Amino acid sequence: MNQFITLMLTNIFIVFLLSFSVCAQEISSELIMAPSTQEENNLWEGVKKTWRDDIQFHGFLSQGLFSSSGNNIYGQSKDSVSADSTEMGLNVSYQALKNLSFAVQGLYRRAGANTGDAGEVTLDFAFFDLNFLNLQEGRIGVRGGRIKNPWGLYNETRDVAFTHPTILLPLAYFERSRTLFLALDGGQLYADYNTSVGDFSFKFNYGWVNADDKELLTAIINDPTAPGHLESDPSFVTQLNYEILGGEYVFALSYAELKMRYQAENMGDPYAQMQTDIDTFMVSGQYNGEYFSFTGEYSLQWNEFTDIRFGVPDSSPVSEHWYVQAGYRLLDNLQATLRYDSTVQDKNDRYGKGVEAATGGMIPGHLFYAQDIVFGLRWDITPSWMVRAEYHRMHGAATISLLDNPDLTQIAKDWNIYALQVAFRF
Amino acid sequence: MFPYQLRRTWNKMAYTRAGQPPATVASMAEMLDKVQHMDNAIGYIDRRVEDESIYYFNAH
Repeated sequence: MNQFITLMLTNIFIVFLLSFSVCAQEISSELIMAPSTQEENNLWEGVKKTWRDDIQFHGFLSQGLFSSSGNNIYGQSKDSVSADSTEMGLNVSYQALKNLSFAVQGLYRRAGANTGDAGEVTLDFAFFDLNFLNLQEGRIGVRGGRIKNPWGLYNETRDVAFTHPTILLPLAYFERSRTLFLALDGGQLYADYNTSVGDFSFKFNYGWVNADDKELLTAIINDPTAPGHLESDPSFVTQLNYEILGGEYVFALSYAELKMRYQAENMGDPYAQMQTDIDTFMVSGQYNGEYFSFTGEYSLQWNEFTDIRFGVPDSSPVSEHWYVQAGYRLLDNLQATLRYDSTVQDKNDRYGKGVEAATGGMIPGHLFYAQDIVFGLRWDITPSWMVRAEYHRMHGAATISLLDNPDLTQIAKDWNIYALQVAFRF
Repeated sequence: MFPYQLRRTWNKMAYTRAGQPPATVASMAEMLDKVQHMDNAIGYIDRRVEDESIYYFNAH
C-alpha cells in the first residue's frame, strides 16, 4: 500500500514539474509563471504572438488509482491498489493557410497488462484538414491521415480525462475494442450545417482501422497462443450529430462497418482463414441544463466471425450496450454523476449459458454480460487541474481485460471497483 | 450556453483539433484590445466587469 502511495505522490510531483516546463509553450490564460524582467517580458510577448498565430500546443496528463474486489482492473487491483493507469498526450496544430491546417497528437498510455508496465506510445491522430467552404451557415472539408472515429458522444476524446464526467467510460465504449474504434487511417469528409432550428454536423470516415490488438483477438478466438494478428480491410465509421439551443440538447446517430481478417505469421496456422465483420450503430441523446445533465446511449452490434478454424462453427453474436446517466452540478466546479450501464455480448444468449455449456464450464457465462451502477464525484479545482473519485458495483465481467485476468476460473461475477484520478491539462 | 458547455466544446476542439478552439487571453485589457481591433470578434467575459469602453445591452 505504501509503495502505491509513494508512486502516486511521485507521479503527482512529475506532473507538477511537467506543467511548469510546458508553460513555456503555454499560450492560453491563467499564466502561472510571470516573467520577472522587462526584457524577458517583451521576448515572452513576442514568442507568444508567433506561437498563437500559427501554432497551438495542447496536452493532458492523468493518473489513476484503482482498487477492486473479485477481478483485476488496470493492473493488480484486486484486494490491493493499482497505479497502472496513466494517460499523457501532447498535440500540436499548425494553421498553414486559411483553409489548410495540420494536427498531430501523440499519446502515452499505461493501462494494466494490455500495455505492459512500461506503457505504450502511439500516434493518436495525425491529419491535414482541407476546408472547402467556411461560412456562418456551415462548413465542408476533408481530412486525411490518422483520424479519430466519431462514435457516440465520447469516443473522439476517450483518453482525455477532462472530456467525460467519470473515470471509466460507459461500458458501451468497450475497453476491449478500444483500439478498433479509436481511429482509422484514411480520409474523412466533414460537413456542418447551422440553421435556426439547430446545428447539424456530419462526419464520414473511410479507411483502415487498427485491428492489431491482442486482447481483441483473444476474445474472438479464445486462444492466447495464436501466433498471427488481426488486420483491417477497408471500413467506415460515420456520425450525424444534431444540437439545439447551444448544446442544451444533443443527439447523435453513429454507424460503422468494420472488416477484419486474421493474418497468419507462418504456414499451417489454423486461424489463417478467419474473417470478422462488425456492423454497428449507436444512438445518443443528452440534455444539458444549468444544474442537471441527462445522457443516454444505446448501441447494437452485429458481429460475424467466420472460418475461425476447422471444427469451430461460425458465430454471429449480436451485442447490445446501453446506459443512462444523470449528472448534477453541486457547484460550478463540483459535479456528481450517477449511471446505470449494461452490456451483453450476445442478445441471443444474455447470460452466456450457451458458451458455458459448450466449453464444459471452462469459460464462465458471466464473462459475457455486465451491469454496472456507478456513483462518481468530480472536482475541477482549477480549469487546469481536476480530481475525481468513483465507485462501481459490477454484476458480470464482460469488460474485464483477459490479460489482467488470465485465469478464467478466478473471474468473479459480482465485484466492486473504487477509483481515484487526478488530471492536468493545458 | 452555460460556462461548462463552453468549456466542454473548447476541450473537445482542443483535443481532437477538429477546428480551432477559441483563443484565450491573459487579462481583461487584452480581451478588450482584441475585441476592439479584430473584425467580427466575440469574447466571453465576467458580467461584473465595468469599463467605460463596454456598452451593456440586453438581447432576447
